[in-house]
Amino acid sequence: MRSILRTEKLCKSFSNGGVQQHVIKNLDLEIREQDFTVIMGASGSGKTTLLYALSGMDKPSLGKVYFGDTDISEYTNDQLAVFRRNHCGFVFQSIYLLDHMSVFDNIMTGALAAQKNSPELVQKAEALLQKVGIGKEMWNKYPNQLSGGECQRIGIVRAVINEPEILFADEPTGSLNFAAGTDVLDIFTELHQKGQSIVMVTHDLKTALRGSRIIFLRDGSAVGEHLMQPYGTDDAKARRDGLQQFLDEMGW
Amino acid sequence: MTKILRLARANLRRHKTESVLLGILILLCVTLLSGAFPAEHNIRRIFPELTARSGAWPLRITMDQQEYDEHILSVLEADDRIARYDVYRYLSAVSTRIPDETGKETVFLADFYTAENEQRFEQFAPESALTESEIASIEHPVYIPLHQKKNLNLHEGDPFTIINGARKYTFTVAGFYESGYYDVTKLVVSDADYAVLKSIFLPTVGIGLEPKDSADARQISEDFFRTCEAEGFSTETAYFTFEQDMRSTFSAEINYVLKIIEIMAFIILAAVAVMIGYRTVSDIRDQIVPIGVLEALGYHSGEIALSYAAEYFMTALAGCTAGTALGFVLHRVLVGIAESMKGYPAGRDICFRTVAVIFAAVLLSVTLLAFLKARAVRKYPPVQAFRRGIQDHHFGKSHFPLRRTKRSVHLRLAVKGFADHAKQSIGLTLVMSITSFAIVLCFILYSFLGRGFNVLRAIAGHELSDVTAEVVYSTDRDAFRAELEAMPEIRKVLPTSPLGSLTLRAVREKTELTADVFRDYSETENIIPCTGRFPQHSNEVMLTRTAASVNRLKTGDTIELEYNAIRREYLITGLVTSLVNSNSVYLTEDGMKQLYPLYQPTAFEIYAAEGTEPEELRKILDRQFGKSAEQLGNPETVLQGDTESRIRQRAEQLMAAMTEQDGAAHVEYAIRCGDRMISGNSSGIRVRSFMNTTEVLTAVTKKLCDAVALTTRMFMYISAAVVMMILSILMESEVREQRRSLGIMKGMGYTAKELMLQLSGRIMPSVLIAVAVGTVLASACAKLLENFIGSIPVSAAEILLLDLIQTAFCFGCAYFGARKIKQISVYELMTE
Repeated sequence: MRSILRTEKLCKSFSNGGVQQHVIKNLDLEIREQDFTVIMGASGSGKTTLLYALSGMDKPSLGKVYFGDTDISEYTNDQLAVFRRNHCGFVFQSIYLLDHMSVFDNIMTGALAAQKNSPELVQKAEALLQKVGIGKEMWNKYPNQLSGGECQRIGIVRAVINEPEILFADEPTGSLNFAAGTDVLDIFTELHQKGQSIVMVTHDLKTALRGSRIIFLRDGSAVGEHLMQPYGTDDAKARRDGLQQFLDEMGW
Repeated sequence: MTKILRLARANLRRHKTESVLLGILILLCVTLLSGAFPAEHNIRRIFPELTARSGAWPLRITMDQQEYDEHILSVLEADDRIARYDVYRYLSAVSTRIPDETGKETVFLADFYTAENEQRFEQFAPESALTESEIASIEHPVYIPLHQKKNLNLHEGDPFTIINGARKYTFTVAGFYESGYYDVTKLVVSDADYAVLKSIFLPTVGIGLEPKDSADARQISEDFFRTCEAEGFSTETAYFTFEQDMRSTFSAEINYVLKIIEIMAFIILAAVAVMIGYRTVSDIRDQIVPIGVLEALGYHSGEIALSYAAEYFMTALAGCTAGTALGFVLHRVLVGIAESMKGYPAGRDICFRTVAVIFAAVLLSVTLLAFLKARAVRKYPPVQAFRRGIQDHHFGKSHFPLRRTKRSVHLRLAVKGFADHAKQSIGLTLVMSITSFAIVLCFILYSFLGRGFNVLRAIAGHELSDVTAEVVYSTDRDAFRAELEAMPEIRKVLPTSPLGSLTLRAVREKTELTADVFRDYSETENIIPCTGRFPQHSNEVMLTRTAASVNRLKTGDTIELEYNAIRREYLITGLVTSLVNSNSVYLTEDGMKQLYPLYQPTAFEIYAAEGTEPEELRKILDRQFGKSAEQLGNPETVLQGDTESRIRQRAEQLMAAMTEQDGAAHVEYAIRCGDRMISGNSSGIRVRSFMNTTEVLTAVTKKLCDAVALTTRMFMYISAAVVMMILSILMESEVREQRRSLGIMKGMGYTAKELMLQLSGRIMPSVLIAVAVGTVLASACAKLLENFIGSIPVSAAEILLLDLIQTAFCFGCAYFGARKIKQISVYELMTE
């Protein structure tokens, strides 16, 4: 599979009280098309920082990030915004729906950032919402009126409505209960099965099991990689044990 | 208290920029109020103090000496409402001028008094830097009112030249004195000079009256005229001057300026009030979770509301303190301007009580309003606060759903944002409407008054030619007109009646109207009907708009006019705006002859040809037609020169009197003097006077026009600054309140510029509504003002352009104000 995202000596550091804190250190990494890449690591290992550097949410301090053959590390903030809307989708732990907008408007705000309105687009939004279990009766509701699981499913629809080349997810089930979290993960699995490239950050084993490639970060460096068959195509126990073993080796 | 202040300080730190801008608005408001109100108090004192110092009569009658009959005093003596009176005499010179520093002549309205007569009018107490012997050595001394000392930059010993026609009279300034009479400059000259000037200027009689305390001066005036009419005293040239009128017109121009400043201050205060409401509500919404935390910790809503009140109290305290300090400066500036305009001291002392009241009122209003608005925190008990004020969200219809987006999503989101915050937008729309109203009205007034002389032309309601010639009755008008028209320096000549010389009575309306008479109104240049058309037939008239409005007449109505017991019915064909005389009726020559069959025009409006200056034309006419009858006919002229000169002067006096008063068509004389025959004729005496009415009127209205034009321009700039600050505060609040949403949208791929566009676009419906409302209100207000100051030409294209500029300016301010969106880091927001 061809590489969709690539980093070269990626560094990200923050100034903390005058002291430089190096969160990502000379990281060379490749994200491949149609992979479900899961980034794992201990707290403070740089998972989220890496996710946002890869997705153009943040600029690297040093090094390069290539989207295909295009170096996006030198992009201005506005160029990065255009890059995000044209190529990326995001699902956040805190969901980040727009409180003052209805469910449907939340979806359309994301959609219209990248494309012009059309009846097909509206139909697509409706179909996606139906597909994730958000019925018509909820479309005109506001986020405050919905449960966390419902909100996250709306967040996923908003992220995929523009058919992004790559979908980023930062602890998408972190704020959800078990049942809601499972529902959300099922959606991710289904998306991946249809060929969607996904990069997800998590520290939850159950979530990580949905991935096809696990990258383990420690102190800002990728210290290990574990490959798995697509979810549901292998033995679940063996899959779990294999991942557990990998994580144990990594000192998880 | 400490915890409340701590919260308030924390709030202030969080809203630094907004607080500074709000503080500046409060500062501006307090500066204007504490500068203008005490200044008004000082300026209002000038006139009464001045009249008290100078001892000027509070009520005066003036009339031509020729008409004055001293038996008229019996009417005053019989009136027990009059405590005392005195008679004084002076020379009235309405067409005199003085040279300025560059030598250019300007109109200078002057009256000449002797010291004795001045003492009868006021307590003439001249001051001079010269010694008595120095003054005694001056050949032609003149004492000038103190207010002209500054205006004309005069000092003792300076030459002072008065020009009348082609003749110049040069005096030497002997000193200055305090005068409570300011319309016309009273020049006190020596008895000898007065005697010479008597032959040139119009001798006038003044009667100073002091009514008893409770007496109504206007009633005295009405009764005086009624009694004079009953007893057969002529009062054709008599008129009363009331202290009340003089007081109100004394500082009219500076008062207009002060009123405009005060209105501006109240507009800013309204803006401050709306901004406080807007900011408090949006801040509570933004800070709902921390507020919930505070409540959970045991703070009650009243304390949190008080912390907001304390925050605004501190902002207002800073603004009021700085504003009061600047107000002192503004006060000095305004009083200084008034003093230099009036030439009299107004006192630099400031009324501290007024300043303190303004300070306290603004401070308390701001604090109270903030407290009342901040009481909204009561709606959010901790649980609801943690749920981000769930009750505050509307769950009704979603305005402008994005599924129906047709063109730009940014436009859609902007309109949606406006609709979702419609309630908050009302306040903004209101404030913007007021400022837009102020800007458009100021623009209309400025563009109108800034045109200077053209303003006068547009609204005079009287023909303003370059020179008005009044001829003696015996002059052959047709020949005179032909002679004028043949002159290359003259473009056009229109025969008419002298301004104010014909008074007609409107029978049914029981009012008097001054007649303007022209043969063909289409030839006039400044009489412009605002409705209807010119009178064309002998039974048609036009009226001034004011006369029509007061008497409830309109175009198409009829009016019955009376002159010397002859009555005729006329059709009103149109209305004219008139600044010069609000009670005028405009008739054709034939129309006038219906009332006065012997009517003949005795004045000519003369228009200079292109390339000829009015002043130059007047001089040419002076040379061409020589001395006017007015100058020659005065019997009190002191004859000068050798015997022949004195004989000729006396002969001219007699001829002038015969032509002027007795209507002689032609007079010749031949006088044997020893072995010589001295002869002459009256052919040179055709003109009664030459006057440049335009220049006189311009001189009278210029100060007012200039002052109002300057203030309105300043007002426009301040309004623009206020708009800029309002929008900056608004955008700061919006960006802060919506930081999270904006961050999410940035994450979705909206660029900072797009979000700035959306956010600034959100206020545009308010701006568009406000600009439209402001323009309509300002135009309506301008129409209303037309009833008082005449036709105000409003160019629709200019107003439209101004509206476009206002809209673009507001958008620019909002867009610039929203620039903090750029600082929102998606990454920080996502990881916080």
